[in-house]
Amino acid sequence: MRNSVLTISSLLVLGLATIPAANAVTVSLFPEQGTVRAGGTMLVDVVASGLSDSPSGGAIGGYELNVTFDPALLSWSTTTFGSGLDVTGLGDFRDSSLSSAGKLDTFEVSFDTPQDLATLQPNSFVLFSFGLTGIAPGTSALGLDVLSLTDESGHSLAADVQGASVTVAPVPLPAAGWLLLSGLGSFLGLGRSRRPLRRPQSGISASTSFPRRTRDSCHPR
Amino acid sequence: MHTLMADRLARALVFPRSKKWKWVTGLVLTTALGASGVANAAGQVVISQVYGGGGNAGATLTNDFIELHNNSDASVSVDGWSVQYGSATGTSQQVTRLAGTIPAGGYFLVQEAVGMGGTVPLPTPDATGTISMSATAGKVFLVSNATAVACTSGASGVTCSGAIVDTVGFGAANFSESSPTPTLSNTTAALRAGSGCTDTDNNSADFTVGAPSPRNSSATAVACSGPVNQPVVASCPASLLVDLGSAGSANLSANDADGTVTSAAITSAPVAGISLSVTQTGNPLLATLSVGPPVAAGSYAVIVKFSNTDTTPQTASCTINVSVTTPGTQARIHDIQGRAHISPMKGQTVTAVPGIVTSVRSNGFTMQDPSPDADPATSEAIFVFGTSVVAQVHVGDSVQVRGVVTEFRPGNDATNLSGTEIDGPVVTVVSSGNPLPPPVILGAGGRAIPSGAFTTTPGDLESSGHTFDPVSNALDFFESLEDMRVQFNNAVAVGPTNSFGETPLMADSASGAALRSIRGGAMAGPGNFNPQRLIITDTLVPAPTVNTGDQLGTITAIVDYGFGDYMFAITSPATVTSGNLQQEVTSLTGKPSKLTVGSFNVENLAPTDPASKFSALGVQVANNLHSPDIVALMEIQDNDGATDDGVVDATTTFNMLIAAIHAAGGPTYQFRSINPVNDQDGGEPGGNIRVGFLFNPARVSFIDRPGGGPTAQTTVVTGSSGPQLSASPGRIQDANNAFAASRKPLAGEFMFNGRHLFVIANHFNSKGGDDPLEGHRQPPVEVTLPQRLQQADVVNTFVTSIENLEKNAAVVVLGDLNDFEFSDTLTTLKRGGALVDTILSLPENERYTYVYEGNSEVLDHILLSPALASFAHPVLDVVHTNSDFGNQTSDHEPDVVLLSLPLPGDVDEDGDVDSADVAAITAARDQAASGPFDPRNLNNDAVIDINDARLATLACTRAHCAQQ
Repeated sequence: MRNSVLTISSLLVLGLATIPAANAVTVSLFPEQGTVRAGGTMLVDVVASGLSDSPSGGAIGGYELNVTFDPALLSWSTTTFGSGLDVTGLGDFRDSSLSSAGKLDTFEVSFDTPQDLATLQPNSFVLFSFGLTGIAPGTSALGLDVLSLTDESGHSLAADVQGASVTVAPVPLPAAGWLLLSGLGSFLGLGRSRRPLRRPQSGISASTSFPRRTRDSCHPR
Repeated sequence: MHTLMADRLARALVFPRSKKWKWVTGLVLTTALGASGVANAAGQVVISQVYGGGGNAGATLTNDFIELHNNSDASVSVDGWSVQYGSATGTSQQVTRLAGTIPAGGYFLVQEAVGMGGTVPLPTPDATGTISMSATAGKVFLVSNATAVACTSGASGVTCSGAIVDTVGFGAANFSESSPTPTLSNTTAALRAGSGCTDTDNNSADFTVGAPSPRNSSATAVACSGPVNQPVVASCPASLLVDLGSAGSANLSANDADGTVTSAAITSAPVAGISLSVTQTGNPLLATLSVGPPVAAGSYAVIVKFSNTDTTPQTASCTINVSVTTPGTQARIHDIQGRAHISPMKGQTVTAVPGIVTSVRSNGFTMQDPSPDADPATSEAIFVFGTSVVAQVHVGDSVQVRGVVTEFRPGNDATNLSGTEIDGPVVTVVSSGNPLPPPVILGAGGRAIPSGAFTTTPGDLESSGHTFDPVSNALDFFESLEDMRVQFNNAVAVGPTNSFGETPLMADSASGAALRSIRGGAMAGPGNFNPQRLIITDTLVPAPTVNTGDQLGTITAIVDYGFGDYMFAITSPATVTSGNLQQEVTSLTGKPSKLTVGSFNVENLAPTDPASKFSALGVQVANNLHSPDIVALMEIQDNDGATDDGVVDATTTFNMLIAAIHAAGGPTYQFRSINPVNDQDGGEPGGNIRVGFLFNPARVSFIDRPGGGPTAQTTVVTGSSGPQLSASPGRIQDANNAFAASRKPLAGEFMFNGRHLFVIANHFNSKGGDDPLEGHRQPPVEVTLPQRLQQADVVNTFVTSIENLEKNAAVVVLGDLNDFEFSDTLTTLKRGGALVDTILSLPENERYTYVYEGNSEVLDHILLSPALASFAHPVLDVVHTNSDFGNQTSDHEPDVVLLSLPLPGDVDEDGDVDSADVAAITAARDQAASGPFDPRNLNNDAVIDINDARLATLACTRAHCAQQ
């Protein structure tokens, strides 16, 4: 049994996804906003979704992902890992760094047992989030390459990927624009009100804002 | 040149190649030897006990023996006498010389051959021989000289002639005094009644059968009461040579210490012109054998019988070989030898051939012309064959010889080179004390020994078409020195002394060797088996026992030939400077991530071997080899060794070796083996040698799959996780019977660090039976090669079938392949890239596992499948513990290979998987795997990635991949 813990922006995107899923698992990029001003920083969530409740192959045991962006427009600042691969809180192996200009290489390997992962890992969760700082005006695609995605037992998982794009605004925005953006931000509940991934040992959620998802409900055929 | 010296006749078997079994089927001295020489002294010595079961299965005593007793009341000298043994129906006898004096009533113990069995040695013997007597039936003679008694079968039964003092026939012997004793056994001897005193000239009545009870000269003397009936002792020349158309004669005599010899008569078929006249009766009786002109050219064996006046007349007979020939041609030795292997004067009678006697053997002598011709291609020396003339000559005598030029092939082995000699000699000693002709220097400062190939002209060296070239053809070179005195300097041993006292040397500090081994030997190579090797023997004077690399200074010797090689009978003792050669200890040791696999031919190991052999092997495995995780063994004999009684199981042999290894500090190995069908796998008769595996269960596990058996054939089948064997262990056999009379390979499956290995132990067909390196057919005919090629083909096909199912299969093929790394056998075995021979990874001067007659060569191999060879970082070590040593435990070196097969995930190869290993895998993510045994590539795909890292976390030894 698992629950989903996602940011609102992630959910919106998932709910609105129109591309049919060829694979059960989807890894998606969710910028917290579509535009960042030069000198400003925004966060991007990397979200895994569509994991099943299957006792085998239903959880992620490790991944390596490359996110690409236009290094002339954006620069990477920090990466913050989620806890979906460290469900027991005892640590795991992880790293995130630029393997080349405009390519952020991030991996994480769980030390948890297959059983713990299968039981405690949500069906959808943030693998990691990273920050991007605007450098120069323009629009950069955010690409996503799955180098490895492995299930709890070390078997390779196939995944669909969902990239994104970010625009760097050249100048301070007009006042109207600020208002619009701040209003939208409030409406969407931005502010990354994420809930802890760590689950009680019972595996039953103490509180959640979202109903339990099932594969059927999340992935209409 | 005559080569089979009397002491070497006693060899029951020889090892023409790789010391394998080749039984000598008969003696080669077929010339009948007449009775001659020493008359019996006053008093009577009898054979008092005969035992041929020593060392046999069930025997307590380790040796055969013949016991003598002096029945007289005076001491008797047996100097120059002999005891002789012949098989129950044989015609020739083997001789053990005696020396010493037996006091009145005393005993005299002659020790003979040792056997594999028995635990109790004889009391200190008074004389020692090596005759292997039948345990059940045979003939034993006491003879007052050392001339072999000859037995002939005729209408009147079997006649044995010689200076016979006493005869005992036992079992189904065809010759005895009256009738033979009952049949004996491994545990019973024939004992003369009355503590050795009873002598009615009836073996059946005089002997009882009972437990052997050997008595030597220290035993309490037993005086025999009553009169002693002394025998008639005859003295005759062995041969008489008469010119056709001329007359000749020989003087004969006979003696009876306590009677009167009254008559002598020819008992062989009458020949017109050959007559006997008695010139004096009494003691001695004197007679003259006359040969007159009517006698046609030819050879005549004339038997003369002497009788006395006893109530029951005693008799003695002797044989004189009369040769009537056309008058000989005067010739010098170089004329007889000629520029060829076969004498241009073969078959001719030569006369007044001059020479200085340079050595005296038991069956003849060598002589050398002090006035050589100017042609170094013609030898100046020759062997004069004739036992009867031995006593006539001494070293330094100037002699003239008449006889027939004969070509003699040593050992009657058709592959040997022929030697030229003068047979049926009549010798005239002209003077004594002459200086010997100076030796020819071989090597630096003298005649250069040809190197490289043995011959530059392939074919039969003895054929008339052969171009004799002693400058460039090594075998022609040695032939040009046949029987001559030679000297070589700064001699160094390129191999150890063997069990026959032979040592291969090279002159001039082995500067002629194409390549020296790292330990001082001479490396064999394609087309080069080091013809500069000079094998010295102890035929004339004792030779030292040395190791490879020992230095022997200056050697003087007489050129000889035997057992397929030119040999050099040294004429003065050699001085040895030890090279202080030490046994090697391997640097390879099994580790958590590294497997060690060894191969060891333990040379006919049987429980009947002395405990010292087991303990020495135990030390070699545990200490010198560092206890390999898997050891393939060759030549494990069955539980009762060479006793040919149907026993095939070898559990005792294996367990004794395992215990010896453990006692030396090694692990307690387990073994796997399959018994052969009795007497169907070759090797020493009755030994049922087989290959087997030892493995350390603390390090590796053996995958047992039922179905293996002596005649069952294991095959490669597809299992749930790839190829596997239908039976493990299982024997590899084939429909074409490639392994007939040879060892069947043993295939087994092992697991190490979760990795699956196939190991195939082999002992291919021996080279025994091939032409010798220095035989007359060049290059030597390898009659054993076709079967070895068949065997290599079968094993190659077997391995290929594994690799076809799994190209990265881990396969080890190892053992005594009885062929070289550059041989067709290995080419066939490796065909299609199925296997890689690790010996080729060693520098050339380290590639040897065997030293055969001074050639350091590879017989034992460890081959690996391509996956292991390329990715398990193999390191081979041939551990030189045996083949360079005169005192060796086996004739083969063991070898061991180290394979890096880490536990999947154990990147730092410290024996566990922990966070450090996972870190190493993630650090290498997205790189190509180095190969099938890359510990970072847990899913065995092409790339190291996060899948592997996750698998490593699952393989962690401790929770959450904690480090120790």
